[in-house]
Amino acid sequence: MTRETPTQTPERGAVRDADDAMLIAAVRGGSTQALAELYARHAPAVFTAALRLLGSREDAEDVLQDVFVGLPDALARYEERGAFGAWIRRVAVRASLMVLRRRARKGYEPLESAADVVAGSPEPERTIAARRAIAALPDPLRVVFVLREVEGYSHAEIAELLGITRTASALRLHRAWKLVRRSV
Amino acid sequence: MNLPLSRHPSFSRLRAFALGEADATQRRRVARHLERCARCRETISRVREVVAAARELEAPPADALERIVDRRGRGERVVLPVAPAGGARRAWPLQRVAAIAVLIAGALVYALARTGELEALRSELRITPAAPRMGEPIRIEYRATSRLEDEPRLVLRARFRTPHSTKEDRHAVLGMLERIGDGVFAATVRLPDSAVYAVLAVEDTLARFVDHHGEQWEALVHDEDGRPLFEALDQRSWDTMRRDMRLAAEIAEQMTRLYPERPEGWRHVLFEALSLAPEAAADSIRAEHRERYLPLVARGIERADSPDVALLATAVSYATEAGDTVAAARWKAMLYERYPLHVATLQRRVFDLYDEYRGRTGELLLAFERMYEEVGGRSQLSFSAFTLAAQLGDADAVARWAPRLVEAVPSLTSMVANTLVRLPALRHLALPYLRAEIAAYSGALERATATPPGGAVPGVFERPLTMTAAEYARALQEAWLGSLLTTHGTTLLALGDTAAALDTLSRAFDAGWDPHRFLTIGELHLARGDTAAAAAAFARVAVDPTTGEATDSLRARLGAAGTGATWEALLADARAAMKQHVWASAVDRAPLLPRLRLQDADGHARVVELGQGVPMLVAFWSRYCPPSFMQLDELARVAARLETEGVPVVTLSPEEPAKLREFMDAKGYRFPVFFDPERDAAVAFDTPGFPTYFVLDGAGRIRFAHHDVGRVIREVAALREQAQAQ
Repeated sequence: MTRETPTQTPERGAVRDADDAMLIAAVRGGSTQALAELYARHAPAVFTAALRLLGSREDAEDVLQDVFVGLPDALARYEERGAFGAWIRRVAVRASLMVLRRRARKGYEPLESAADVVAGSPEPERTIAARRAIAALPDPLRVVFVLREVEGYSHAEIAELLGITRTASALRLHRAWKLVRRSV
Repeated sequence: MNLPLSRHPSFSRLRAFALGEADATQRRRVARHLERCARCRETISRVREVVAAARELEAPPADALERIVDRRGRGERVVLPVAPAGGARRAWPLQRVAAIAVLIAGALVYALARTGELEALRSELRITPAAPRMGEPIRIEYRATSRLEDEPRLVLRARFRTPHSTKEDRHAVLGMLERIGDGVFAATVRLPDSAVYAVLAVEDTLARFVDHHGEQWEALVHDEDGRPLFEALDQRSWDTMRRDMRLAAEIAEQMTRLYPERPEGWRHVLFEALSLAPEAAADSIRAEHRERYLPLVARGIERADSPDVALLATAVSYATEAGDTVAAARWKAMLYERYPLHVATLQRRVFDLYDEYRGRTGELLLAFERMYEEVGGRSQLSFSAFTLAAQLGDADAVARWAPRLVEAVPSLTSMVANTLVRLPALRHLALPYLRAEIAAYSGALERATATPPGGAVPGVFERPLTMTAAEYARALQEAWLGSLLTTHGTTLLALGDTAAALDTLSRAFDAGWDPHRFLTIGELHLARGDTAAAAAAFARVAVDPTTGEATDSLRARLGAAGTGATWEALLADARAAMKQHVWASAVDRAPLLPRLRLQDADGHARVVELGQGVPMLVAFWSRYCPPSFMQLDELARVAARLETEGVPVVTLSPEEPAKLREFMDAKGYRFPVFFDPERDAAVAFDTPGFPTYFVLDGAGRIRFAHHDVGRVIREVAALREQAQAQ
């Protein structure tokens, strides 16, 4: 069960990860410059993952900030085995899930409407409509949709991550698509 | 086969086709259909558009980096939910997934209903600044677990370590966390001046629940340049050792990197290398150590004009274990020459004497005596000489070495007393030692259970960070007092002080539940001809499920007291007493996660559901923790017995599966063991150190939690009895 890493082609990944390794060493040593460089490379992926999962720019920015504020400490637990880009996205996913769990416990609804998520984007109408539809999904459905279609997790992995069954994951994906298709 | 137009492929198939997930057959079929069906082509392009839109990256807000740098500059610290092992998530083999799907199938509705339970069970604690200097105030912000979030205020506790107390922990209440928002608490505190390293925990004001987060909340004191103090790293490494030897080794390497001039760092590396290479390791492992670590050790030793004594001593042991006799001899000579009176040298000299007088124990004892004339009653010397004298039954020598040993190592007092008791000529010498010990343990018990006015948390200074006040009081009570009292009573009886002996034995009878002790007490009464008292004690042995099989022979020895209504009444009393005792230590709380994602010793992913309708044992152990290691044989017996009773056993060890498998095979253990890669088990049970045993009821709630595997069988029996009664 491999999964795609849609935003990163393999050829580019090789070069990029070699550089990342040096930056990581520098960040562990306390370099803010290196942290800024890692940010420049990976912040869009982290932010987008959080934004898709949470459906709220404000919450996504919180996750983005937390991930990079905590990164120097977390790197102590990162082993240079897989690609760093994939690793940091997994961290972003986990951090976003924590936000969702807190939200679920408090019965909290994001303040901004789905429309705000894409306000002012210069993109084609259909792209905007698609993102709006995803952002408008109920949390449990959106999480499964994003993990599967955007982050490329398998149903087994989603089941493991969310503590649900594999069948439940597949069912939620199906329902999510049904709602998305209705809106686009 | 062509699909008729009226039969469009299902959306799932179209989606799989659109995203390249369909297999070859499906791909062909759908492609053929698409040639003729504009509607499905439209669906496919919609799916691709939606996914592309979702996958496209979006720019983060322009000022986010600035805020990040600002937050870090203020010393803010965020603990990220990083999956351990760092690398890629493991994909599950298909058949395993299928097996788990069957296991947790039951009902989809059930699964959906349970997801709510996974909410935010991981609490967070932020320390600002992250690199505090000595004496600097620290701001603590705590986002509570669901168990603590409704409290008005919480107690912030710490186990802290000072630069000079290498092995001693101290415990303190650092302050009160006040509620500042929904489930969020904060306080500004200061570590005690002498502290360089602290592990933090939060508990409610009545000390019923401790959130210590797997002891991951740490504060290290830093210097002016923001570098952790050497002493802080040193203490962190010591502290980490008991829970994660590999992490300790990493910290040690960090010490040699940041402070190459300090020998203690190299010593840590060595010590941890020693611990990671179990003795009697294979030749290949020893060769690897000779090649990898020994040169490093040599560098550590030879970089200084006057090498550190402890580094030298450890290096001698290490070189011996790694099989490099030349290096071992060279370093030993250095050690003896430069540090002739150091405890490390004296210890080695004792070992040398053992080698020299192998098989000639009488002469060895004389050699110890000569060494005593020269250097005095050092710990290793006194211990070796005392135990040797006791083995040889040399009463004069035992009497000579006993006070020397107690003076050198006060914590061995009860061992000395127990040895003296077994030698009739010296039994009277044991009494003062026993009384001193009993007084010490009774005192500790009173301190632990007494609740001072004002609701302050009792016993906080002695109490381990991870135990609640009640757990601690019970642990103390049951650990020693009963057995000490039994020994004391036995001695008094042998010395002819019958009244005092019986008084002591009746106290021992009521102090906790220990069938072995009841057997001893019964034997003593029987020897005195008091069959009634003996029968009461034997009845307790008979009802205990761990010893029940010996009942018939016990009854035979009791004569009339072991038959009929009298005996039945005693059994009923004993059952009631045992029940009361077992339930007195019961707790009732839900694990913080309903199921655990684990990895078995063969490296396969496994999901364990808690609450399978029958009681269950969850045990945490580590072979690197001596008390835990010593209970493993017993754990194996208990697990085998539970298996025959249909009680699931889950044991967890912090080692990687391959290592675990090797160890289990070497020891011939067959109980199920798991690795906790996601820290699910650690989070679910909020575990303190090793060993810890949790006995769960059929509904998956924790009913017993403790450190003594000997109690498990009784507790499982009690849970089954309760379930049957309902």
